[in-house]
Amino acid sequence: MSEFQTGASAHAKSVARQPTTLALLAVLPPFVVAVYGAAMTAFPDTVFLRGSAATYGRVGGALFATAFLSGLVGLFGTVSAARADRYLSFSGFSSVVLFGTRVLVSVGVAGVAAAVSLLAVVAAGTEVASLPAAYAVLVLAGVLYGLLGVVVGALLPRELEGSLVLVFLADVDSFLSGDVIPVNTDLVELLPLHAPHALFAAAVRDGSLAGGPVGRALAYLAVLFVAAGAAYAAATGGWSA
Amino acid sequence: MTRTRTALSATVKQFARTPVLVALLVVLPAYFVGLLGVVLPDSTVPVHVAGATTRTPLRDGMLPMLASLAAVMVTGIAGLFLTVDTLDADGWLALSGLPSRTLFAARAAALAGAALLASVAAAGVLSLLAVPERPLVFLAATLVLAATYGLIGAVVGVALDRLAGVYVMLFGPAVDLFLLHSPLATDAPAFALLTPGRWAGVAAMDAAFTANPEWGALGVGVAYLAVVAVAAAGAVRAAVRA
Repeated sequence: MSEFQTGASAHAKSVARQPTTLALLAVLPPFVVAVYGAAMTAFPDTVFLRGSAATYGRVGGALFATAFLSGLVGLFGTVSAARADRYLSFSGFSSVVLFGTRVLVSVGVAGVAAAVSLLAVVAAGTEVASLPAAYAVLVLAGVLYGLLGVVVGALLPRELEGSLVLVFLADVDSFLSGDVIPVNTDLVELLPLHAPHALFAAAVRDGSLAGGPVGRALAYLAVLFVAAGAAYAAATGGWSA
Repeated sequence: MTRTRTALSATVKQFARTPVLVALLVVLPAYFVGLLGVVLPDSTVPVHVAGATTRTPLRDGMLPMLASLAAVMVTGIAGLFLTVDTLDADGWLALSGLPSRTLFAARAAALAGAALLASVAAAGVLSLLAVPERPLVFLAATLVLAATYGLIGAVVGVALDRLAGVYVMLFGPAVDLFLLHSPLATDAPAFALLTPGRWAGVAAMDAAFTANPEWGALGVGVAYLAVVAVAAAGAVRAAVRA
């Protein structure tokens, strides 16, 4: 078995071995999508909402559910495996491969969470113009937060502190990135979910994935990939090829 | 020193040993309220409290709810981790003769301290940006709500692991306060009556926007806290004995 297969298998097992994680992947995204959809209808006076409030709620719920779940898996995986990965690296295992396999597992988790979330949106009665485009954006949002979770987990290597920071980052992101409220600053465009939110709404509404948000989202992905790599190297004792 | 004080002292030391955590209990609510206070616009929106509707700048209309939410999320997650991190040790302490109710009282007192820190931090920054009509009542209601969610976090910590627990303790309070009982929302679904935000949360919003707080809602909020405390004590004791 190659180093890559070994690393991927170990990281995947660390996720799959926890039944509550698997249950979360199956249960919580639909719950969040449904509750966000129902609750958003209680905002009759927010004239800045365009279109159906329930649809808007489901869109935000699916995006947030996918992203935050992936972020938590990235955070907890980094915190719990940093020491083991450091030993593996000392014993000659390539840290590049270890990081690559961790990212691969993040993509897998994001893929599952995105599929479940998108199914929940469709099952709730929302017409999605392009399912592949919507799915791709949800996976992208999940991977962005998965990498963010790796960064937070490497900088704050305890689960409680890391969770608190990730929760508040995610909450500000969820609150501001959807352009529900016209805020006083353009800095909201720097939030991780700002571009994915615009893309996901467009994919649901008319099936298109074009324009500035695509470039911004990919640039964000590249920056977070580099940041996560640097943070991971710092947490596990540096790079080895 | 009584057993409860010994257990409380140990719990407080556990918090104090990680200064980053103590700092986060204060900094995160302050950052959350401060940041949103700066970026939220001054455009006016209808705010629905105490059966009446008034128009206020969006920032003033949302910030009190966001301050309560910040304190609640910090305390809820602290309650979750406090329980998950101490269940094993508490099992051994119970075996060695320390009553489990003593252990729970100590953990709950430490959690109340965390709720107070987070509530004061959030309400303090709120007062710099949008002063509540009744600041002390707002603080008290937020504290009751934060303590309630801290104990709910303890129950969640018994039932779920850390990852699942954090997920629940993020979405639970956010749905409760931000969506179901936001002062911008009307006609909350029927099930919203069962959530803590309907009582202490509504009392906090009334104290923020009116000079006549809804004491009845705050009273039910305190009763809700008592019920959750009994449920949390039962859940933690059962888990310690298992």
